[in-house]
Amino acid sequence: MRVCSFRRDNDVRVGVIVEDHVVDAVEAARAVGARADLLADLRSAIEAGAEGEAALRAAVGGAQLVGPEHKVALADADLVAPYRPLQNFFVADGNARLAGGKPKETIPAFAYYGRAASSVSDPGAAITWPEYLSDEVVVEPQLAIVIGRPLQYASEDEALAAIFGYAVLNAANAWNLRAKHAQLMKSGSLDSFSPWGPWITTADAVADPDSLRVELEINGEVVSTGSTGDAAADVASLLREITTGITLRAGDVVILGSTQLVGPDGPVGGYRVSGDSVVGRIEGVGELSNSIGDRY
Amino acid sequence: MKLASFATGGPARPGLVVGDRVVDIRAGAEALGVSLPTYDDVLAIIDAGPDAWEALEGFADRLTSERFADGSGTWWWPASEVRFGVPYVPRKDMIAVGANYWDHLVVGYSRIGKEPVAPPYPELFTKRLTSLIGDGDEIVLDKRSTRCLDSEVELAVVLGRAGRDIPAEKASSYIFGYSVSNDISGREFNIQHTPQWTRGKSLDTFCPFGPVIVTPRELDDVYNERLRVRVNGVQTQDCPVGDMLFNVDTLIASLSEGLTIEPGDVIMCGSGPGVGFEQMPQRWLLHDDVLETEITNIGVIRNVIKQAGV
Repeated sequence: MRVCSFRRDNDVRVGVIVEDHVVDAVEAARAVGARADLLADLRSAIEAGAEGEAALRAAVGGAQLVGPEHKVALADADLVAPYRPLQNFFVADGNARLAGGKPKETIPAFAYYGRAASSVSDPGAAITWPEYLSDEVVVEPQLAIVIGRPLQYASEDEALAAIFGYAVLNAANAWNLRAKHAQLMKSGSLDSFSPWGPWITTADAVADPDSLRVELEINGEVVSTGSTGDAAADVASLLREITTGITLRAGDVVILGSTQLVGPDGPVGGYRVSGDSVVGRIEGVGELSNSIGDRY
Repeated sequence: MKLASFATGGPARPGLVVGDRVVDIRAGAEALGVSLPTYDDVLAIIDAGPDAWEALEGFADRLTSERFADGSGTWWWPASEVRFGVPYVPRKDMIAVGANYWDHLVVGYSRIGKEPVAPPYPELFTKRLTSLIGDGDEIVLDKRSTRCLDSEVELAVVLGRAGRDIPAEKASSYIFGYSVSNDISGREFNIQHTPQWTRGKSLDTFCPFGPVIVTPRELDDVYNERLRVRVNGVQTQDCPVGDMLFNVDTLIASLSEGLTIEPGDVIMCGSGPGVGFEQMPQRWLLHDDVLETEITNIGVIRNVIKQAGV
């Protein structure tokens, strides 16, 4: 199942994606007598746990029953970010297996950081930043793991069972701010730096989250390919590690981290400039397009 | 005024702390015939903006001692009889600042055998909201995650307006008030596990916050107040708030570079010397330790350490 948030009549609605159409989930759930009241927004639906997920699945089942006024072709749909999380996107930075040329077993631990929730942005949106602040911005697709059930001191099996789904986050980072502030938060937390989506693919539709092809396309050219399997920690062990002391709640979003090795020392050289287009693709999860806007 | 979220058995509600009393804002306004909007929580008050704050300050000014002749248990309570909670949960993370007090970082560096270096720019990081606790709540010491439990009293600055790219000279107008916070840390994470602070400082129960938010007019100069920690009654931290390397205005300016701050956002401004990590031998918090986190003329948060499974 694929679920999304989309703009309709100046309102953001929950959608289910069925046969290349975005179907209004509230209307579709109503059509089959399911809990449409849980589908006011996607974050609330996911926070509602099993009942929210059941309502979304019922909406998929009811998609054929709603009138044409409640569906729009996916290509024409105005998709927005699935939602703004209640707290930061928690990122396992330095999770690239080949980071700095080091073999997997020599990477001691992740350097976690939080991307502020206010950096959230939409599919198709321009990534912008103040001119005075940086001319060293990189963008790369990273796997967003959407938590569907509370997790605390979770085993790897429990962690996998608690994942609602996956999405693409085109993670922008102002490289110079990493060193400037020593802590990585500001580098990834500027407004517009965390576009994600374009939808959430539920976990049951992703056979193995640790072997998904990841592609970065800049201005129409694929400049880097990799795999989520390039991460030092796989999805389950990452969640086990984080939940050792940190409770994850339904609706929280954890980011697997870089697998692309962008940045000054990576194979994707150079920094993004106004007018660049950036497409992040994660196989079986989604394709997220953004552009680089004018600096302000 | 001093704002708090408090409970007297039922659900938490916003209140004003006046001396050693707590006033239910809604019930108090009704009892005294004052017309005020209804606020569900403290964040709603912060969201309401300067005119609403001014009206509440006016109400607080009218709460002179003779007003408390009766009404105890209906619209006001002795502070000792209520439970203070987290004042409110921000919409995004608690933003914290590392290495912002010279005397603290000098000892910190010496413990890892390095010469101290003042950071050229604020070291800003996030503390997850799931770490928030209030006065009276327990801090969980769970040895599956940490054995090196440490505490750092910090000034919490509550922001009242949205803004971006705010120059330092205009930053003070974005401040709603001040509160007390403790940047509880699992030091293994900080020292060995990662050079990024957020992991070891975001564990559940690792962010005591409260018990009140004090608006700037209540204090002559917040920098003259003192940061203090007592463990089992013994003072371990005591230094002027104003010893910070980057002052509050600079922190707001730096945080807001390219990043929109929002009403209710909190900046925790770093801690002074005397934390357990600095002591010789290092002194970690243990089961049943009583931790009191204080900033003079703002308030004290009291938390007891409880080891999981004991």
